[in-house]
Amino acid sequence: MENLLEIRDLTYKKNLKTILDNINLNLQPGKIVALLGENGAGKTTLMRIISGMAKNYRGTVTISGESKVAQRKARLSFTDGLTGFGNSTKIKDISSFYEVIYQDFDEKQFEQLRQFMKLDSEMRLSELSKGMREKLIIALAFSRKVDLYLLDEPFSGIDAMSRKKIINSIILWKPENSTILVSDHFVNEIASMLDEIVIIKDKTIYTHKSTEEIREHHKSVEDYYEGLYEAEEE
Amino acid sequence: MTPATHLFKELLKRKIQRVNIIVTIQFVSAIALAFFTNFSINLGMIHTRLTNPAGFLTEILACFGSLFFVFGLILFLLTISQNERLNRDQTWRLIPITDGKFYIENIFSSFISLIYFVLVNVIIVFILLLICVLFNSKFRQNLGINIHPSLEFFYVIIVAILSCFFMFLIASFLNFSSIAISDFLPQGSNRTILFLVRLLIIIVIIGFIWKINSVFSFYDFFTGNFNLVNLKVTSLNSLVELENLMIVLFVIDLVILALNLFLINHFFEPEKK
Repeated sequence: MENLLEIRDLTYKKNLKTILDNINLNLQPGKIVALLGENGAGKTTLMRIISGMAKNYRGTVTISGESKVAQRKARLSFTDGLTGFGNSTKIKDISSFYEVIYQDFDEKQFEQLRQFMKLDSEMRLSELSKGMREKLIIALAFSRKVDLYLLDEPFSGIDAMSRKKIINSIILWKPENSTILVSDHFVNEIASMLDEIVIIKDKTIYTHKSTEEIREHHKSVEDYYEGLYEAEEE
Repeated sequence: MTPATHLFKELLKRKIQRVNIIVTIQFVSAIALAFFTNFSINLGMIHTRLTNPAGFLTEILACFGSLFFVFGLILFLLTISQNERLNRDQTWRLIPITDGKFYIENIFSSFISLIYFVLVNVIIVFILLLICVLFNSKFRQNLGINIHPSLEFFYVIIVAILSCFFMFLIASFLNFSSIAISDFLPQGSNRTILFLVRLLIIIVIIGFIWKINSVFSFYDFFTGNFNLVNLKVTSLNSLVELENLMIVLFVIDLVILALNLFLINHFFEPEKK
């Protein structure tokens, strides 16, 4: 099967420091993949490179065979902080913006997700709590029909009950052949939906395994992940 | 991929909203200025030096016209600031379009919003003028309009447009190059280092402008051979200098645009959320 995402010999430096070194990664279509690593490991940076936000790197990044930045942006949905909107912007205005700008935006899907997240379309960004804002970001991300979804710590401000509800539903929202790459610190909570995990350690891909393989040899994904760092401490 | 026209409409929509707010404030300020210059309140009574109530409309017209330059400058500076905020914003840079196209759409929509500001001012002045002509007989008697569009006037409009783009492009160049340079320095995100890099670039830009001026003597032209009141040149030779200024500005704008496109495509990253 052709790879959806291909990263070859990727190296990224900033302020004379190497942030990512010799990254090679292939992701297949239709998978839900966790991107794990300590704070500052380079998870967000990797997502920014894939989405074309980070510049001046060495190596190649292709999504569905496309390497040009504009083409890659058209094939992915990246959880965005909505900083481009003023605090007085209403949710319905943001969805109108997405409808005009993104050709793959599905307004009906957004309405369903918005109601699922219990967000009122008349609410302004300034009226949303951190968790509500994160829910809106997830709703907007999954209202686009793209090949690759990049979720950068999407659940950080969301309450435990809502988080569980969203995680259990994510698999229903994504198109069958689309891939989700999610970075999050709640490993045990997202483990149930994962097909693969990618761990970034020491500026490179430390491991890329299927969760099936991990469960065959270890207790759980969380135990495997924590075990890597415990071994290091010892 | 996002069609360029869709992006342009969204950018323009946001910028037009700001223009509408600015013009509203300009109009209210004109009324307030006309009131405070012609009316006074003493012992609970309102006194005025106006002999004709319709004269107040004429005062509003005069104040509104004079405030055009003040609010025009404020809008221009706010527009430059907004351009750079949009260039650096991840929400806008995630839009499926090349960074270069996005930058051009951003600059061009800002220019159109400034044209809109001028047009709205012209329309309001025309409406106020019409009202004054209808209701102020003294104004009607003294009104004399003498418009003779000349080649110099046309050239000056072009120079103004090219200068407007020059300011937009230079502000972007300062922003893009300073951040691109600081990304290569250790601790480049340190505010002090960024400030020093920007100071250095400003010095380089001023040096470049001064070099251009020493070759073409544009400063002398504007202070000696050009009548800013009548927008007329004082000699045919000065008309040639005005033509030279247009060409030089056009070339400089193209060069800076090319540099900015290179920087935004290869080095200038949007801010992390």
